[in-house]
Amino acid sequence: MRAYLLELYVPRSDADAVEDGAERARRAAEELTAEGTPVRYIRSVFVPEDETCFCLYEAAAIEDVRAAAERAGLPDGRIAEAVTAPTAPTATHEKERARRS
Amino acid sequence: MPVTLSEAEPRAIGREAELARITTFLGRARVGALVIAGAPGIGKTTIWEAGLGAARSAGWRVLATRPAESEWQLPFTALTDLLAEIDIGEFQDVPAPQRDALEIVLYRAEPEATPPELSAASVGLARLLRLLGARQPLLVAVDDVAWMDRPSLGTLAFAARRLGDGPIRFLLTRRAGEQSELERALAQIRVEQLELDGLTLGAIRVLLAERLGLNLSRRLLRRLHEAVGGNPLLALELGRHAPALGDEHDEVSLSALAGAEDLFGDRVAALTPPMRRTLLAAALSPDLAEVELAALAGSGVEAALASGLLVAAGQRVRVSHPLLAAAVRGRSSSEERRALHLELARSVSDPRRRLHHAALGSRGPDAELAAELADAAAASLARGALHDAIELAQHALRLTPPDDAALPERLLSTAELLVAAGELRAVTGLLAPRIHKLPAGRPRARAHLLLGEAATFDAHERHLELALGEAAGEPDLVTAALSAKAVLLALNRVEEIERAEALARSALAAAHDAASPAAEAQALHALVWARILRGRTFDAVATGGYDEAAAASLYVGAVERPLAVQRAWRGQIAESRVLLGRLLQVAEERGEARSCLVLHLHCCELELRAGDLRAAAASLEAWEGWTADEAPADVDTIRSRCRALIAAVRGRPDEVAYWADAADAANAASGFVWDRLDVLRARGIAALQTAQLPRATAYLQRVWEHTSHAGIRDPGAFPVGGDLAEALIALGKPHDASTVVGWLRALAEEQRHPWGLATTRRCDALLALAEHPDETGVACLEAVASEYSDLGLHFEAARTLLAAGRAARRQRRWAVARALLERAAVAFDELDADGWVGVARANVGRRESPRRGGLTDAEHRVAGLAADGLSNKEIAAHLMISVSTVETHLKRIYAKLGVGSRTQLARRLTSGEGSTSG
Repeated sequence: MRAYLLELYVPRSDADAVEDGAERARRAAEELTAEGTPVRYIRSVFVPEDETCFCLYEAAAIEDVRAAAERAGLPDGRIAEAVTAPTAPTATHEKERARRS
Repeated sequence: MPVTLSEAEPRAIGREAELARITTFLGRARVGALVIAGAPGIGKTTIWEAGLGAARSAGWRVLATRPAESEWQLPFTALTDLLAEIDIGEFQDVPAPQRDALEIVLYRAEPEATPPELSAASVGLARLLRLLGARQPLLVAVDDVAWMDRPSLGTLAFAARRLGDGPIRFLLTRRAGEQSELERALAQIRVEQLELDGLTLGAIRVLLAERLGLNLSRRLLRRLHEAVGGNPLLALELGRHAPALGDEHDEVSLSALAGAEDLFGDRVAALTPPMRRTLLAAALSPDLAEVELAALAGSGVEAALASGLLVAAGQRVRVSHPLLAAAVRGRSSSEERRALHLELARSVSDPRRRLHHAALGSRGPDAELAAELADAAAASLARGALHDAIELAQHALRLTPPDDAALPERLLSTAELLVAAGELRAVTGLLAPRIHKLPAGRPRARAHLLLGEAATFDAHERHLELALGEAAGEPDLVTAALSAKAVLLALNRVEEIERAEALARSALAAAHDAASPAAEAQALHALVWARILRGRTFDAVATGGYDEAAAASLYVGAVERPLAVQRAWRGQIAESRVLLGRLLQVAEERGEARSCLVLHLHCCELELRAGDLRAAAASLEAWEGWTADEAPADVDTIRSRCRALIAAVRGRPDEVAYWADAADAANAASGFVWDRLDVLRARGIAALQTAQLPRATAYLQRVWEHTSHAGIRDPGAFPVGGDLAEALIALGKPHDASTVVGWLRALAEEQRHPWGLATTRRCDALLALAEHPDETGVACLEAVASEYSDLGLHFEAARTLLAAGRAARRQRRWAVARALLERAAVAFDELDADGWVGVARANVGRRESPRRGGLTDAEHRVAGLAADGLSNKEIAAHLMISVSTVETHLKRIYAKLGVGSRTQLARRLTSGEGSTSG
């Protein structure tokens, strides 16, 4: 699985759309996964100044992300490969690791 | 009805917030005009068009025009565009003279012999817009106000100033920078600005993707966005320019290309010569029809349209964006342009535009073309398009061969047009170097008359003399010169009125020789003014008939105007008001700007005599509305002079000083002695108010002496006689006062002058009181006050009551004094003359017997303010004293009046019995 960044145009005045879109993205990814195309929606980051919203996905191929975006009814956007650094360990993580090891 | 943007509108990417503002603007009652401003290419037109769509969907009526950027426009093009869909039926309710003017201007009717008053068309437009707005909400929309042709802009601005509150809105776009005249005119109905900034990175990305299918890397996108500052047009241009931009290594070329000004230039340079020529032709000719361009460029037109360089708008074509047009023009040589103008002259169908192209395409002198241009100038003038006429006339002049017989006439008519437009420096520049080349006699006389109008006083008089020298045997010119001399003398210099009258008589004789009604009107105008200054009546019948219908305009021709002013001088206030009101109505209906201007001024002066300050201020404001086209120095002088007099009647010496100084400063440029005298009058009244008697006498004496010396015999023209006598008596110079009164009496009796007679009686009473202070004198003054009141001269009445009260007080007849002073205070109060109210009340306060309260002036002031509810701190601030002083005063006040609180104080003061105020 690779990481992909979907870049969407969202007008500044439309900040509510981001949450809606995120919800739809999550659900669409779950649907697709259930149907046999594993896609995972991770999170969205909205930059109002650029009127751009970045949606982070994990999938096997770029077409899967495109399909998920379409299913979610998200407007046409640019999709690029991304590389994510591991997230900072949270307290839960630490406990898990401690328990496992 | 809520206004929304329809779904069908082409999506304005990245402009959601701005579009929301448009819908708010259309839905909200308060704001009258929205101006969309921003750099070229930023997307103003897109928003503007969305606004139009939204308005139409919401049931508004939309009048729109999109002036094209070009060096020249046919006059009134924009206005014609705006009113294109309005048919004859809707004009019906506009009064006839205004409607006719409007129809001529819109090319729907042929002009008559005399050009319509431009302001008539403007007034008509205002009326029409109000009528339309009453039936349906109205939106007047202009895209790129800066390129509106000048006559349209002037007319629309004029109308905009007169629309008031109503369902008429304006939606304008303009480049960033200076406000246009239209916006200034709209300032009264609340203008909001919508500044368009660049699009965001995200929006630019979408724009490039949707329009050009470009899918740039983030890095490249960032660079591009930065390079164009978010400007959508430039972003598209840059995107279009470099199709290989998908490659990251092309960053270098991106920066090189991003010098925004060159963007279009490079595109132009990359065009084929035939394509460039096609574009240039469109750029040089506003409102070019597609067929006309095709005649020049053949199939190139289709190619240009296909590539988006040209856009079609109905049957016309225009360059797709002004920046592109500017680039095309900028990269052409003047030879190329000249050659194209000649070709355009051949292919364009409208004769006016054809002529214009021919003029721009011509190289050297061309007698035939010059003659055509001269005729076109006359035709344009007949339509009321003064500035277009000037431009055509200047072309005609330029192309007239130096030895052509028509040259002198063309020179003079161009100068006449420039005078009419108020471009006086241009007149001097045009005629002064060429006057000696003109043939002697009539042409040179005309030249001198024109140069005179453009010059200062002294130079004007010299030119008039020279004109008379050349004008022998040309009675109409003699009339013009003599009339001008007479008016200069009487109304501007205010000197030698008798000579002015003689000059005017000679002018009239010459006018009869010329058998010209226009000349006669000119001479009569000068004569009437001179006569009324001499204190004589004017009998139209006796001077051999005056035909009002023949008078070209009320400004010059109507004899009623000076006669109405004379009534005001004589103190016949009601009659004067009626006459002026009637004249004003006619002038407004005819849309005569000059006449409305001067009539409002006369009304202000009249109301100042009556003492009705509110009416005077209202008239002055109305006067301001017509001053747009006048020379600023003249406007400043008159405005300041009127404000000084208003302040004097109001009783505010500081304001008088302020405005009087301003008037004198402005007067340095304009030189009108009339205003200088009125300013002295204002200063004199202010000095009288503050009891600065030597100063008051000095000011008033100057006016008195100047006017006597000049031969002005109507004592009401500059009504200082009464005040001067009063000042002299108060100074203890009854003998000097008697001289003044003697002269005043003689004039008043000779002319049966109501104001003069009343004032003489007032002065007599004051003189008698100076000798024998007794009841009779006071009773006389009371009677004179009634006389003034009956005439409508309420300010004089109040001042006479004040004098009576003071006289009674000097005789220690307290009750009578208080009653009279109270009446004076009430009378001043009704006029809003608060400064004088203070004077009257202060006089009441003085020398009150202690049993009756006995507050000093200072205590009285403090008591009044305290009773009005002001805190000690506020009183201190108001009177510019310390708070502790206020407290001390209040302690004493309470003690003297026997009260213990502010409430009791207020009750005591308003109770009337033993009150120190009213």
